[in-house]
Amino acid sequence: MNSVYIEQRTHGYSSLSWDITRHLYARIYNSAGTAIVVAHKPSAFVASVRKQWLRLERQVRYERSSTLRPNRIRELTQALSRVEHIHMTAKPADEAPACDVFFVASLPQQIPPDCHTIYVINEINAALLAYLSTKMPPHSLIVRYDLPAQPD
Amino acid sequence: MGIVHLPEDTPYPSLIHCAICDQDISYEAATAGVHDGRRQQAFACDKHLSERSAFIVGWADYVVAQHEATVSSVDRFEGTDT
Repeated sequence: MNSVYIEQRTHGYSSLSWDITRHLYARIYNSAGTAIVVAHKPSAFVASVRKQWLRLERQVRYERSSTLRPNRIRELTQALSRVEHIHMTAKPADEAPACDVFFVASLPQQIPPDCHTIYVINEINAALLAYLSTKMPPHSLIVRYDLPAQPD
Repeated sequence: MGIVHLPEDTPYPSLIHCAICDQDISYEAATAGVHDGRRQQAFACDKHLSERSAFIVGWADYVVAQHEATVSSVDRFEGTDT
């Protein structure tokens, strides 16, 4: 656990998929590599995040059209290109090697060597955190979500 | 909430610098974002994640500034070499 960043998040009033979408946008902004999202229902969750990703794409497009600064326009054009080419899947990495973001129910035995970000929606214990940190490149990021308690 | 653990080989200042609003913030109020010009982790205030314009434009401007700083430092280096 010594070589990674760990971030603890709650998603507050926004939806979990929207929060992950915006966080992921910054993570993939100027770095190559893959990300893993560990969630209870990966197939349903990937659909939700894909929808939010399209919403984010529209927002980036809007911001690009709203500025007259050449550097910002150029930068947002590059960001838009990156956003458009992100592929998300609920399949394992070995079945969909060309994808960038993998949604899984539990952590795979093999973590892609270029995986720099893991989002954990499920509960995670210290032993698993330590295991993850040894499998990820140095200075990677693990994001843990605190979900609000379910009503009885 | 916030950044709760840093790699051991990373400097551990008491405050983190927000790449978007240029303020020093606590670890509890920070979120991890893009990489800076030296491929190091940059941070921002967590509140910016919910600000549509500041979030998108803020990271774009930060990356532009990082790129310009890198280019100017390379220019300086090459200038001293010739």
